[in-house]
Amino acid sequence: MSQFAKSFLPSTRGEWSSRATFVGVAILFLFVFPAWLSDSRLDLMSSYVAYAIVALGIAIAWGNGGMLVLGQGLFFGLGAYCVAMYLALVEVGGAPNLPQFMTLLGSQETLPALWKPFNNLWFALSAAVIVPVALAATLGTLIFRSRIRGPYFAILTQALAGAFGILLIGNITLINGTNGITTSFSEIFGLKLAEPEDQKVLYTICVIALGVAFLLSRQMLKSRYGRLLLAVRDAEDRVRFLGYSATKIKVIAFATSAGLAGVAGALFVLVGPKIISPASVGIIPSITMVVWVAVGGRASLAGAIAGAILVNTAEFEISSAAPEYWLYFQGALFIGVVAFAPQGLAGAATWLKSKITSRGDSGATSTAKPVEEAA
Amino acid sequence: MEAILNQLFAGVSYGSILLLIALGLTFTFGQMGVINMAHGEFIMFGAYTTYVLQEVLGKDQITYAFLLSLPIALVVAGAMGLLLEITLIKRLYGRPLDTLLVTWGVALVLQQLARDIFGANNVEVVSPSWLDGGITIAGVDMAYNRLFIIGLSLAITAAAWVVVGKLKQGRRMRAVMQNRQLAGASGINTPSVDRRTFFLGSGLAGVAGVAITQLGSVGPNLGTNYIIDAFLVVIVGGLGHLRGAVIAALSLGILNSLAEYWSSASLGKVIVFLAIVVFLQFRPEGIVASESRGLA
Amino acid sequence: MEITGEEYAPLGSTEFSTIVNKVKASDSDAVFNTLNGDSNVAFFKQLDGAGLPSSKLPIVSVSIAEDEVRAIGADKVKGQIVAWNYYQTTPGAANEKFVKAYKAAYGDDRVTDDPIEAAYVAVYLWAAAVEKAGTTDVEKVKEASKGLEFDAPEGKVVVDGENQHITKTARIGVINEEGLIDTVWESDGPIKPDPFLETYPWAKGMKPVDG
Repeated sequence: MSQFAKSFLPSTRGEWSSRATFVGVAILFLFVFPAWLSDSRLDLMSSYVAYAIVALGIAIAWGNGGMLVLGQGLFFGLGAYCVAMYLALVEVGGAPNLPQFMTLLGSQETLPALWKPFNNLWFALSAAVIVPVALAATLGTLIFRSRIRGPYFAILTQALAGAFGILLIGNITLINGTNGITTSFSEIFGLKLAEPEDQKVLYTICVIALGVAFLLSRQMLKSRYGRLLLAVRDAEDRVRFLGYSATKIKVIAFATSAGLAGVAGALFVLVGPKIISPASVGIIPSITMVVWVAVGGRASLAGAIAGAILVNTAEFEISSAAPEYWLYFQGALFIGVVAFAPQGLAGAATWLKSKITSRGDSGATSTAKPVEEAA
Repeated sequence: MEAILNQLFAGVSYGSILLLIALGLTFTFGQMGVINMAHGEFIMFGAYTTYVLQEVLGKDQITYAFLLSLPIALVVAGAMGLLLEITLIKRLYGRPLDTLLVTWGVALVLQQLARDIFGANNVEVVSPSWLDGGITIAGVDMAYNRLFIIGLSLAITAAAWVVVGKLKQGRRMRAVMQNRQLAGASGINTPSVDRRTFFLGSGLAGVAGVAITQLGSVGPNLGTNYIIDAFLVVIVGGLGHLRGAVIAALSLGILNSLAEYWSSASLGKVIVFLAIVVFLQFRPEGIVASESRGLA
Repeated sequence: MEITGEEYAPLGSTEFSTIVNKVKASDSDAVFNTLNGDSNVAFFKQLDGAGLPSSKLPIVSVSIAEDEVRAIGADKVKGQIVAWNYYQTTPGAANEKFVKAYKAAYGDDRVTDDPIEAAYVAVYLWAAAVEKAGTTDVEKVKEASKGLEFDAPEGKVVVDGENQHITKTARIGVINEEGLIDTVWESDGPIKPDPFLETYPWAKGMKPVDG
């Protein structure tokens, strides 16, 4: 059995300790944070929790599949806009009323066809996942089939996120362009987005969604498919020669990451700043999402979550205390982690654990060393 | 019709800027497989070099400062590239995705550095008076600054052609590009060739920056506006081939302009992107094929 | 009036050749320009390159102030139209003092403009509100700020009790050769702020926000 496969069959002791950690973290997020953090801090934490779901997807596609996805902002944005359009219609009493910004701009006489189906909550929620997944599956098939990979794939995803951002900016009459769509004064499932008490419920929904996404992703990576994905990451051609469709394996991982980003986007417009605009979906936000995962440890799901929450917290603290230093800090963090500590926080945790127990291989979940494929 | 000719001219002009930027990338990306995201910031520092020279030499020496800034920006940006190669990129060979991310971190730091040195507001580079205005031929308005950029890009491409095709240094570069190990075994000092290639590739970014000062103002985010399109040029053009880069840059420039004209500026980028994905279905290795990307 | 076209560009764009071409091909009489900040520099440089000075194509800009004119170069935008509440040339003793102090602090070649003046006024208004309230407690300062008056460089401003915006005079100006802006029209005194669009007939149908 290969070294990678072994690492996914933790010893019983490791299993127990990771379950205890999961329960501990769940209690922290579900009960300690709501009691301890102020309303505004909890609101911020909700959006970090949504970001953590994007990070899970990146850990799957990049850390475990070797596909550097530099355009997750696109899928995040698609999920967010789908739900934001529903919320914007609810705010004005539903179709055929025009969303506030259209009335303000005086640009549309009647509700555009694109908007009509989003009057339905279930349509909007399913579109937030299905649209990103379908788009990623189509693009992924086209790109991977031509055996475009490594940096080429990364640049293409980045260009796509850039084009999407510009597309949104140009469509001011349809989607309010650069201003984006604000959702503060709307409601969903009878929960008012501006109400602090309802915000706590929405926060809990975000945390549960993250927990479910984490468990499902973990199951996915533990399965036979997960091992194939690792194999593709480390030696794509060998997998192909063994008769597997590397394209299919990669498309599934890419589409999963897109779906997770879509879910995250859908949650994002319910909490935090309650606005989605091109500023949250373009090239810069997309690459920032990769920073979280790099810091957390690219192949580790738990690391991705920790990275998303810690980096965002640090960004908030540092940029409010000394805004001019945040970019230096972010840049240095990125250079340091990627160049010198590619295992990130997860690697550090594994190292610590092995120091403490001083037993070589007890229950580490991510000892798999990410090996870059040659370009 | 006039509008379309005008748009074609705009496309050639945009394409020649992309070419100036992509030439440098073709060297570094083609030879070393390094995606240098900080390339855009070298463009930006090239542009600031022009500004600094203008401030130092005074407002009555605009032409002198502008022309002088072409070689100086080459050296400034080249030196920055060299420093980057020695300190970071060298350690990351064989890890192309990590290199991409690390150089993006460098790009962030450089942007903030520019903001701290020159201020967050853009600064103005005064155009030499002979680049103001333009001529109209057959209804096409050709601004002198755009004509200058087209000419500069032609001249630099020609120079690059000579360097790569005729000179000893170029032969070594091609040898390393085609087979690094064999080149090393034949007595070529590959690390030294890498450093020179990186110096040259980054230096060209600096020259591109000087040219861009003629189109707008100079700010910390100058490079980011062009860099993605330039990477697409390299992908479409094929690894490390000048001919591919020239064809790809002009095609993308013109396609971009026409798509923007017939749809809108925002839909144009999406159309160009889709066109590239479709193109890569037929020629995944780019216009000028080298080796298969599937089995590198 | 007929609108011949509408174009948008991302913030910070520097390539305007397509938009300039479209403007030219549309044969419009004027352009209403909402570009922000530095993109204006590239836009006007490229318009100039395409042979469209202000005498051929007047452009009304809502985000070009004296400081942007300095960056674009006055020769490329002279004669173009802008709209603000304050210009460096606005008459009055308060402004003379302000401009003099500004130049003394930042250099003779620097100019004042509306955003600079607005920031200056805001600090004084806040200080006055804090003095009146005797505390920096946000709610008390908000309460104290109602109806405050200040003799600003742009003229007297008053904080509106209902919405905390201030009354301001609207001024339309034309950029001159020195890069300063001459007022060509101004409203009859300061205008009462209406941030919730209560006096605009087209906004009648809009639902008030309950939050």
